[in-house]
Amino acid sequence: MRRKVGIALLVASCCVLLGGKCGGGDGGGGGDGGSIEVVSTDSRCAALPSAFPPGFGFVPGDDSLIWVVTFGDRSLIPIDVSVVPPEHAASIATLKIPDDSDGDGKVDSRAPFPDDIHIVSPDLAFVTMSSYEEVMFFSPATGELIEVDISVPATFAKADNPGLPDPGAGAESRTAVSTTTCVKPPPDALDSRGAPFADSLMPSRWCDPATPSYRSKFTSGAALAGDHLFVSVSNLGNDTGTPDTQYLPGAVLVYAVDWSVDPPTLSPSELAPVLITTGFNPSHVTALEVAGRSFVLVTVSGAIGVAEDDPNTDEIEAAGIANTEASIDVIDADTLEIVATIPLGLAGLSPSGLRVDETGRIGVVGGVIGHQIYAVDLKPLAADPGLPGSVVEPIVLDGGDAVIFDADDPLLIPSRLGGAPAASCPGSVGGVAFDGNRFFVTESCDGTLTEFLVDLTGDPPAPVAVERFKFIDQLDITAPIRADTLTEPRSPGAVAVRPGAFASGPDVVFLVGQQEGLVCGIELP
Amino acid sequence: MHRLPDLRRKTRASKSTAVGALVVLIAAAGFAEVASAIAPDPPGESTLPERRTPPVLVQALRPADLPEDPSAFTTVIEMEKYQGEAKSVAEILDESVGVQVRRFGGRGDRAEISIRGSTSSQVVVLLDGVRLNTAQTGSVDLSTLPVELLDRIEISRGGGSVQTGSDAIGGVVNLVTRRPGGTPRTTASFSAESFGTFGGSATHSGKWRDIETSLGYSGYHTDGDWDFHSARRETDVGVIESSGPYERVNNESEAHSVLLSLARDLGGWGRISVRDSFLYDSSGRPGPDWLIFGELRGQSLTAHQRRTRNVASAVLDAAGLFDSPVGGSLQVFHRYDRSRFKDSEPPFLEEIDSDNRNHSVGTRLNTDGKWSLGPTEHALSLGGEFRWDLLHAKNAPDYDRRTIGVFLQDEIGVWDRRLRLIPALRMDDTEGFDTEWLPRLGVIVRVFPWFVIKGNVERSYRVPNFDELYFDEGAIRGNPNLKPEEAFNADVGFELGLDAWGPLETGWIEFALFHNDIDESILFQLVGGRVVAATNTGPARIDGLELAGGFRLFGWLGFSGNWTLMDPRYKASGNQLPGRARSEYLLRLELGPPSRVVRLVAERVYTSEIPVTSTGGTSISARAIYGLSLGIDIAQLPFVGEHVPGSELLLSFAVKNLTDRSVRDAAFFPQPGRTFAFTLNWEL
Repeated sequence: MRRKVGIALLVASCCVLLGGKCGGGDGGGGGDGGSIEVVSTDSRCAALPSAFPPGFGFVPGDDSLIWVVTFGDRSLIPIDVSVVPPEHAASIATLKIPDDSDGDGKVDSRAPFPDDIHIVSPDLAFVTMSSYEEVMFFSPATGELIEVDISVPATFAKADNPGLPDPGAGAESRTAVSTTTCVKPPPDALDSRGAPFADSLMPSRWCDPATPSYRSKFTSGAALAGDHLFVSVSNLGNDTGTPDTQYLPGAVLVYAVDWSVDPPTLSPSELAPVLITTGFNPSHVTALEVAGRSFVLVTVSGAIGVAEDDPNTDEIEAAGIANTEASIDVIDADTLEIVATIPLGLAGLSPSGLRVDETGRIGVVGGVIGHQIYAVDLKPLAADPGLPGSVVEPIVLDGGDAVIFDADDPLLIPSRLGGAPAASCPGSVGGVAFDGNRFFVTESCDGTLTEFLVDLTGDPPAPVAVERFKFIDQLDITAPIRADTLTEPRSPGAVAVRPGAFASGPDVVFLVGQQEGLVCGIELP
Repeated sequence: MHRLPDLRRKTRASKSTAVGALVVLIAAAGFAEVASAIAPDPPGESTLPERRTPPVLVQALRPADLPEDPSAFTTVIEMEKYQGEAKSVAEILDESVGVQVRRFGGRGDRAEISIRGSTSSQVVVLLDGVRLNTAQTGSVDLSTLPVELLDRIEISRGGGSVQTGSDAIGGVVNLVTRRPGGTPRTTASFSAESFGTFGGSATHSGKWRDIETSLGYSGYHTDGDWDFHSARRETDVGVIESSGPYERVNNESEAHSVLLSLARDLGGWGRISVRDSFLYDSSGRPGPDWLIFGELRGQSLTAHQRRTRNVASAVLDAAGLFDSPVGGSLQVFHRYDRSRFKDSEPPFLEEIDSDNRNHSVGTRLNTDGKWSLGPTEHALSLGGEFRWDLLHAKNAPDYDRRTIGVFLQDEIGVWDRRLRLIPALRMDDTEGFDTEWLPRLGVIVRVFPWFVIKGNVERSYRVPNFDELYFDEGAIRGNPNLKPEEAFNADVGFELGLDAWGPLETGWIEFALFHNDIDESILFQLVGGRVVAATNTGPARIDGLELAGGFRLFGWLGFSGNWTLMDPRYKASGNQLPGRARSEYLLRLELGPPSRVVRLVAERVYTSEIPVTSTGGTSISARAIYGLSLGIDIAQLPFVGEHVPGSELLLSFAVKNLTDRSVRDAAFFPQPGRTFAFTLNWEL
């Protein structure tokens, strides 16, 4: 009997075990599924699917349509900003970035994260992506990706552009160009900590086994100038969030393009596929036509760390620290050389980049280390015949030539009464936007929108006198970043003024980072 | 424990819902006049056959070794009630009134408790009276608690700092492991669940010479490879439809727990016991499905965590020393926690390789005595506690701190203890922080033997943990200047019990209104353009009510339920505190004969919308989850039972999340859908 019991128990146990395995459970958790609702708590704004939307752009010729790139959900969302709060544009669909974003027939090996959108025309925009480094081609008019024939000249090594078609193998149709490129600065080049970069990289990680080198990363900006596409890569190194964050030498990647053919064509420039910037952390590029010459202005932000907390104070020290000099590098889009640089000192430039007024005279860029902005006079680019067509060293256009406001003498954004604590968040510009001779600046720490005016009447000599810049007004558009404001929208970012003449609707459009990502429109007083 | 013993036994493991409680209220109104006494035995269980009564001898040993809080609103959950339902400690706690559990996945994935809207670090979790909250993180992962080795769980809602010191703003949970001694008892269980989950346990308690023993092992392995769907996201600018199914990857987990408990009666000197509870677990950590990309959805393939915990304690219990009215207990303990986390490829970050070792060593002394003084009866407790917490972290400085607490409590009974006042005061001194004085006043009014009104006001607090003070990973930082969280707790309510009347075997109801004021809440938040740091935020308040009840009819039909309704808000903005549902209720129906040869249990758990962000702009939708279980005790079956050795052979089948709902407590952490479980419990 005992034996029978034992067998019975054994059978019962087996039933249990097998039942558990075979019963399996369908457990898809998708039946009558729950959902997550994201709504704006601010009546001026519409909630986006994820926080910290990195950027947006107006479609040229349309004062109502913008495309917003969102981060976590990886989408391009068309928004109608002619109403408050903004709405999803009725005529066009959201583009979810596909899992094969570059169209090479394979699912991306890593998820690409949108960094910004750079709209060139109604038919062409570039979406910069990090992690899976690339620049995606996009049509704002249709809301679809654009297929481009990409090829690599046979003179290149495969390792130079591992994400592109094989060198000399002919063109392949792609919807994005991989910006994972082998960067080979001079062997004695230093990293942002002052150490030879070759020493801080293990040879086993060099992309060219014969040369100290590394793969570009943190694709940050894209601009079309002349027959070339210029792409900045920040090349962030190690120890982010520390006082001494490491950056490897910055670079601008150059591609020869032809958008007049169908499909367009693109290939790495044979003349100068990689330009090493004069400083670290190139975070943005801006195309500029001046006096018939085509330039690309590179926002070289400089190495930026984060202050270490001092336990002996009551404050939380978390301000940005500018560890290396910032500048605006000037690339001649025809010769593909950095022909000049405009030094701005330890400025800590905002990655939102340089914005240029419609006359092409004044460039303004914010900082991330305080309530300050910087300005450069671009007249020397047109006026200076000395800008060479071929250089060994870039010309330095300093305070006597082009610098209006720099780190030593910045244009200050008034601090908000009861704003963010200076120790933890002393100021960080989220975006700059021109409207004629006025420009607007969002400041993320204080949650403000500040309006300035620059008087360019009478074609003043370069550099424009600082007295010609006037503070006009400041609005509190979100809560400041303080410990007690986490229940309110905070961190305004990218900003733009609605183009053209309009009788109704918002004047200024801006993004908000947290807690929800928002797109907002406000009418100015 | 002296708190309303009769009523408490009736409330053990009971849950209620609004509907259920209303039914009981109506019933109570009609039956009150005939319910002149409280049944001495727990209804429904008094009819169990004698051999099923757990042969656990609880002698003078008080499991918590804490001063009692008789006026607190308390739930006692006997684990045996859930036998065969394949529930984890987290799932059982989640069904208790006033308690919400935030789960970050399935078996082996993190689960955090909230009581009356608190955060998880505002709840003290004790294992046989030894605090499991580490000084490093403050909160306890409920997934590390082996349900098979527990006898019961005691939940004290609303404060508790007088008893336990820092952290007890929301309440206190005491996990009581299997007691040593008593009639020899051996149990074994095997379980198999969906998603490659297999578990087993074996326990034995008895006596060897003069030493009472309890030994136990519990372990499981799960592949954890359940499917999930991405959450449907409804925004102001469109809808992102749910997609899937996707597989939860890197989610395998295994855990092994061992319990050893020895006790010896010292005659007139009392009793001494020694316990050791050991845990090892190893789990993949897939992390959030935060990314709308690819099949992985942002899950990590490379993150892994291994944890070890050992809790050792010795208790000398001298309650009723030499038949005197004075007694006491002395406990010494040591807790060791080690957590190793490694992720070679975290998104946007460099490799993470952390190894944290926490030690906590201390002692607690509690003396109590009873006497009469004129018309008043007194039960006085006086005690002290010392704890030394240490953290050794890889690649980070070591930290330690000492905490001393002294408490005094009197329970003053008048009018034959119809009115009891319980004033109490604790002084807590944590190294590096100001001394805290924590007063408390409890009141119990026994209006009728079957109707009791209770109320409490008290002050509680929480000192920041080491991570909140000193964590340093560049962009995520602690803040050494944090101030302790300060809270004021108040509650009032009643307990009502009904005895048999007609088909009604018993009925009970508990109702409480509560209010918590919390200042200086600590939260990690963005403080600058690039840094997230721990900060003291503005004040918050939580008002709410709890309603629990149950009844049993005809001996076959049992119903219980509970409902918790809260209004947790930031005072300044009026926004709802994130991470808590405003409303949660449970309906539970048990069907089966008193012998429990067959038992069918059906449940419905409703959770209202859960805000995700502090603005209130993002929220997870409300849900209702159904569960079903059927257990058959083969040992009681005709013809078959007589051939089964032992007193019980319970074969059970359970379905969790019957309708396969998409469930999330946090925005980016899916939970399993429909899950089947088979269990076999064998008791010799």
